[in-house]
Amino acid sequence: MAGAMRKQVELMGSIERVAAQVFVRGGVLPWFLVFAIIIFTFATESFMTGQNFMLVARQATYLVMVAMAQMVVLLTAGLDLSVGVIFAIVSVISSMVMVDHFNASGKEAVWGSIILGSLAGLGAGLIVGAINGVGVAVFRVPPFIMTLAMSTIVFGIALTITGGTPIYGMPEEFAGVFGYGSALGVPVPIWITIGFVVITYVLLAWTRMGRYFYALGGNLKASMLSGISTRYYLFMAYVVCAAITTVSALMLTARLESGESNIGSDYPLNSIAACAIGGVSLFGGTGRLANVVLGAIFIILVQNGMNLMRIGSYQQMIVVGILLVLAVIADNYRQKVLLTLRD
Amino acid sequence: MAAEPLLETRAVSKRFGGVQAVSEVSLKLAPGELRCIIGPNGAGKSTLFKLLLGSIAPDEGTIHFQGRDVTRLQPHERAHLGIGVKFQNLAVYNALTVRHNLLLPLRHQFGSREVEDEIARLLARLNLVGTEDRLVGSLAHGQKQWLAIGMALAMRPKLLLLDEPTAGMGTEESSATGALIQAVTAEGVGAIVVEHDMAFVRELKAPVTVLHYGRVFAEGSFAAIEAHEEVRRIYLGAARSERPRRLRNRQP
Repeated sequence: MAGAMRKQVELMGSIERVAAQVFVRGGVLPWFLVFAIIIFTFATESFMTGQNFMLVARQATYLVMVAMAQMVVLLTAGLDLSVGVIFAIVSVISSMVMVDHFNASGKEAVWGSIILGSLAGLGAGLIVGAINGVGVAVFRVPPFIMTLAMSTIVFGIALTITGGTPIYGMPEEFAGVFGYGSALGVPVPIWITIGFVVITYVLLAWTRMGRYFYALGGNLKASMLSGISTRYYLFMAYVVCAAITTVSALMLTARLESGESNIGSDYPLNSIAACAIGGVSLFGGTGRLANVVLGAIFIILVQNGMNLMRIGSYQQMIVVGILLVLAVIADNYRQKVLLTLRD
Repeated sequence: MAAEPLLETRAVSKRFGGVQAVSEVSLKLAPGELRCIIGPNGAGKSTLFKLLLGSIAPDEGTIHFQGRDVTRLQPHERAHLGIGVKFQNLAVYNALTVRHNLLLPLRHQFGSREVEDEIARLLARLNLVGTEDRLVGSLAHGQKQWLAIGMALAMRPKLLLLDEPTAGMGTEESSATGALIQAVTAEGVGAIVVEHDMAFVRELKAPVTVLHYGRVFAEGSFAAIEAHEEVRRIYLGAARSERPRRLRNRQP
């Protein structure tokens, strides 16, 4: 009797172990994706279509970029809440410079204006990142406070410059190429995003800087004693984050065909959510780029599916919040199992 | 002509608000010399340690390493010059394997082929053979402490700064740690050990510097320090009858 029970317990135990192994290898995200796709496929007619998937991919580009940017900072055990206002300031500055130069040239210098405007936007974004970096790395302001403060400062600047109204009059080619253009049947923003996924992958996996980002978040003291300039690389993490975010902001500006100070407010939370769902530790040191990209796509996919199911955007906010918390709980559990399995 | 000291502090002082944490401390350490720094809680040991590794800068005084003024250099710059540090709190990567922990500092010094030899050499030296592919988070406490020392050694330091290297260790592990430190100094690496545990200081058989209220209170061999009436008094405070070596002043 007791022997039979023990056998049953052992069997249960081994089933649990197998389930644990599968979960530990892949994390929670593949399960989330599978469940979401099943639900949306059965609940709607238009979800499982090529057209819709292209739509999801196109919409996801902006968040994928910001999530990668956010990941770089999260790896160092930091946080960037100012990615949203980087959108605002980049959009406003790039469009103003573009419009000014375009008008001054008598609407002749199309590409000159586009390049100049984009560079001005890049400059604005990098300045925000550099200030964040100096605050965090040199003055040791907690990243949460530093980037939160920058959010209100930069948002205030963007609103002051524009008075809150959109800026129109950019060369049509800007939107035509970077917002709506396509090459080989694939939208240009998707190409750009793919390019940046590759660049970020190379940066994180193959360069010294990427390794050091992981090292900083893994253990700041150990990094310092291993001869890593913690100040310089912490600073660079915020600059790299701002640079990637800026490219996303330029693409969105092109898509909207106007400079807006009110864009990007969802990106701080959604980019952190994409990283957390993708298994990036908010305590730094661990995370895989591919999972972050999938995490961002997952969030857009869920929003898309809920739109098709005619679930209101207010209710969508509730769902995304719940998924975020569930993902983190699942990942904590995964880390625990991981340590016991390796032992 | 006397050999150039490996490390020399000249009257370094550090003040935090109204507290004079370190006051005009002058130390000299020769290559291969081992020195213990002891003192009651609040004597300025930790502050002096931070001044030496470079995480804080002194208000006054200078720190010279191999004749070079390093007073204003950052910790990572000092690490590259040859100052290896092991903190009391473990500065290791728990989520990585032992091998990967060692790789990070080793990569500065060696090419990919030499790195393998270095890892093998360090593992043997640290009693960690066979653990190279284990996650550091799953190691025993003493093994983590050795790994932390190993990460400092991986930079091929000329000076090793150790803050309570035996914190939380059992007697046998402490002895092994002591032997490791002595072996390293025998190869010409200077070492400064900040320690609370008098039994361990006795075992190291090294000259001792006693700090009290941020100043150098006494210096000499362990026997001389142990016999020093004043040192006993400042250490013992109210507990009159205790002998210093039994004062295992451990933080929980």
